Formats: sequence, C-alpha cells, structure tokens
Amino acid sequence: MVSYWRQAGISYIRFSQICARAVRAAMKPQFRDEAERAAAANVKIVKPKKE
Amino acid sequence: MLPARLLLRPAARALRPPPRARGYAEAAAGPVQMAFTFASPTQVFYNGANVKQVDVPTLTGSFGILAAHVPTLQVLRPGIVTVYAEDGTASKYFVSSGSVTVNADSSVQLLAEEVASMDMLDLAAAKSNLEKALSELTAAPDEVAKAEAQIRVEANEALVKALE
Repeated sequence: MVSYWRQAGISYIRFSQICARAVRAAMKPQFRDEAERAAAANVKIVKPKKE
Repeated sequence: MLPARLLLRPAARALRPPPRARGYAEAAAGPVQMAFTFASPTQVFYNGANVKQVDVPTLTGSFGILAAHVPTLQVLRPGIVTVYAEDGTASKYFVSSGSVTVNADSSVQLLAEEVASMDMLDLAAAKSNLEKALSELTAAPDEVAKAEAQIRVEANEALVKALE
C-alpha cells in the first residue's frame, strides 16, 4: 500500500525534510540554533553566464 | 552385467549423512555479535558497537533488532530509537527520518536525518507545533499542501507521544 504522501506526489526526500524541520522546531532553543546551522544547505548553485 | 563392487559404492555413499543446510527452525550457529553504527549527518553515536538490541520506528511499523536478525532494508519515520547496551542500559534518541540496514553478517547501520536525545526536546513547543499543524491541515488548499501538513501533524504527534 502506498503512503498518503507518495500518493499526493511528495517524494521521501521532501517527507524527510519536513520531518527534520518538525524535530528541529521542537528542540530547546540552545540546541535548535546549532541544528539549524548544521542543516543549512551545503550546495551553492551558480548558473554559468551564456556568452 | 555390472561387477559386484560397483553395486556397493552407491550404498556406501547413501550411508554418509547429506551436507547439513540450516533449516528455518534451527537457531543461528555460534554466538553472533551485532556491529551497530548509528549516525546523523553531523554526529556519530555508535560506530560498529556491540549492543544487545535496537528498537527502530519504521514506515511499516516498529521492531527490535537483535544479533542475527533477518537482513532487511527499512525506512524510518519520526519516532524513538532505543539502544540496549550489553549491560542492559537503554538509551533513547528521537529520530526524524532515515534508513536502517541489517546485513547478513549482523552489522546494522542506522542513518538518521535529524537525531535529538530526549533532553534536547521541548514538550510545550511540540504541542504548540502540533496545534499549528492541525490548523494548517484544515486550511490546506490542495492535495500537496494537505499531505505536507499531514506529515507535520504526524511528526509532531510522534514528538508529543515520545515526550509525554
């Protein structure tokens, strides 16, 4: 049986992101900042300029 | 007409017992140890450690893993992971999502997206987030927003249940 989020078109990666955000939002303030910083995106997207 | 000695050989072979394959009802041979690895993107909690049992919450239900568990690949849902050390002490961690792999050699890899020990979480914050998510669910405009709100509701419900 397919999970409800898969049926709605959401991938597991998105599910994982939402769950991780929910857990971080429930953390005590002193731990939350560190978690937020660690979870920030490590990917920088640079679009090459067309000549 | 076959010589008499050729007739003897198959009989002798039949007397030797056939090679023992392990039947399902038999216990695993010898003492097996679990090599347990548990990590998040930022921290390693256990690295090839020898633990007695690990309870994991997966999308298809919660189960406990002992040494010589059947090999399996499972996906985690928000819930509590309980690690029972060799001496019996239990450590609890709340995981948001991730995967668990049990290999045939009894090594277990538990990789979680976000891990919080129980004292890092705040019950009041989880409860208010649950309220917010429930109201978002009723106000959701389309299927995708509804599913996303439902995910948030379930994650917060798991948090509240874990902390109460």
